[in-house]
Amino acid sequence: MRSPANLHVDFDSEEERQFPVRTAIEWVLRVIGLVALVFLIWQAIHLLNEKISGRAEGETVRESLVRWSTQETPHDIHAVLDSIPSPELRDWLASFPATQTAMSWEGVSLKPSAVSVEPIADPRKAVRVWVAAPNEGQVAVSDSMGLIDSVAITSGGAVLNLHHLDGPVTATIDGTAATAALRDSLKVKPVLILGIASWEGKFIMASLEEHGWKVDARFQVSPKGKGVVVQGPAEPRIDTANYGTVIVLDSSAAKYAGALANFARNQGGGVIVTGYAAPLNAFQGIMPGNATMPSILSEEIAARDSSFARSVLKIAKITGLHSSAIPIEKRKDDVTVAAWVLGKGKVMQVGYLDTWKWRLGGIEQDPNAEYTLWWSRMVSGVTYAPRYDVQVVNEVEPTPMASLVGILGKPETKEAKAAGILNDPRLLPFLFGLVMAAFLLEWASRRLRGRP
Amino acid sequence: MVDDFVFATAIYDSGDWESAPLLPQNLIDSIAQYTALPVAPSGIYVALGTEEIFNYPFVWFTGHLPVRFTDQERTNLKKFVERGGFMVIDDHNHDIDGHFHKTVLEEISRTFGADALQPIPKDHEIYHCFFKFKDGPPATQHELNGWGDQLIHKELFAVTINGRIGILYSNKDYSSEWNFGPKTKEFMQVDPTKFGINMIVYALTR
Repeated sequence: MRSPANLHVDFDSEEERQFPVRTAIEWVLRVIGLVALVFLIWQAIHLLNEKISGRAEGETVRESLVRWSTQETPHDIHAVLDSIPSPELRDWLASFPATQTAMSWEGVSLKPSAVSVEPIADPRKAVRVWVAAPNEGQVAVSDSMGLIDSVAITSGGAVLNLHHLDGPVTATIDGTAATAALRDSLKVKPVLILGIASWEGKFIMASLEEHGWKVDARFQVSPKGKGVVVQGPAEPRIDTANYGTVIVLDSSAAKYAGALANFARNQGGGVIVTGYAAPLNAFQGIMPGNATMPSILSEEIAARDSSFARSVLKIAKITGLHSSAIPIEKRKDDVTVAAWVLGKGKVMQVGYLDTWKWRLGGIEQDPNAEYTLWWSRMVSGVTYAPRYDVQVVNEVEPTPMASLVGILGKPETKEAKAAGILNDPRLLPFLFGLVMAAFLLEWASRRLRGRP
Repeated sequence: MVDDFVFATAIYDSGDWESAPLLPQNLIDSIAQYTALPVAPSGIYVALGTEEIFNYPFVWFTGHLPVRFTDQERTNLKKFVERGGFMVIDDHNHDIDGHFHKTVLEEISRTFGADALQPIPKDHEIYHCFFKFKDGPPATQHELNGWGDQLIHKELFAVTINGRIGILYSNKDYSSEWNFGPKTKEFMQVDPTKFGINMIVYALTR
């Protein structure tokens, strides 16, 4: 007779022989269950210790910041920017390190740009806008009233002279906007014109007044008696308290040469000496160059008869420029306008003769406007114009990319991590289910064939 | 050295633009007599309908007959004035409702607008920029003699651009008054061309 223990052993063996496949499946289920259980425990421990990283791109950055600030506390975050963020968003990103969340960012599509705006000494409150940007694409310049102009970027930037500006100026390049505002402005002083009554004086005065300059003039008509036609004081006081610029037309102004030298050299005033006055000895001490006379008659004048542009005016070409003098305009190799800094002021020498012919008989679409603008720019270039502060606008960002780097630190490229199967938390419930299913099936199988 | 002032008289298609042939020389003589302005010794005739008009910022325009501008003359006149030129249009008939007067005013209206021509006040700069005319425009002998309309025209008229006279219109007949022979001036108590100097000085300085 066999002992009960031997009977039990024999019974198991008997069952296994009776259900060999089912027994094997039960063993497989046991192994699967155990392996899944071990993996489940391992992953649970792994996830508990893993550092959570956050990554957001483009338009999702804002909503990710909300989530990282209110729901999760990632160990580190990485923002991929496709446009310069608003100051609020930028400061939000910059605040994460204070909460022990490392922050990094990148923005390969961002364009480094900068914009600056400065006043021009101009009665119409004209401004000059400087834009710096990579040599590609267009920059759209706008103010609070809307788009002003769109220009191509060349040589690392663009310069625009604008007649007027409403509020801050914004330069937008491929979605990256830089904003700047005037910090100060210039007090424009009147212009004084000295010369014999002539078309040159009349047209210069008319054009400057039409542009908005206040002009005083002293036009000599006759050497005797009340032979002078004045606009403004009968005897002008040439100093920067009264004038920013003096325009000298001819020899009748020679008696003011000393006062003009003092006006420019010691007070910072601007002097413009035009063609007929330029060769005079009286002005040689203040001139940026020498004037040659007789004047050159351009060959184009004969061809065009009575049609004039600046390019065909007669000139007293400027030679022997001082080393510090700057040629402003040239006709072929001849300098036609030059300027230099004399002490505190500036002196400009205009070599064109009878520029009025350009305004009256100009061949441009609107010679009136061209002539007026040209003379106004000549005056703006040399005039004495003290600065004064204007209301500062704080909501400007003249160098958005530089500010971004300054506040967030250097950008760094980080590849997005591919979510591995081993550290995917979504696997946990699956593993739990697998464990439960394997053990339940194995248990059920055994029970159905009468085994405990 | 400054470019000489050149006295230009307008030629136009429709009228007797050459009706005051001695006037330019008399005014040129007066410029030389009263001022130190460099002046060309002879005047010039320039066609209003050509580009040449733009070489001469001061232009005298006169006649007796009806005036009808060609399109080119009208275009040039508008451009000339808007760019700063100064034209004196003087009615050689010195009447009120004469053909020249009526037709020139129509042309001015057509070119510059119905209200463009306005009377200028007696204290206007043109009356005191060199010689003083405290009563406004000086009367001519024709007005004083009661020849023609027997009226003294009290004022001149102007088309003003940016505060400056571009067209000075007179129906006082300065063209007759200043169109005298070379020796006549010697026997005049008052030189009548002085107001012409004011016109030129005004044009050169404003």
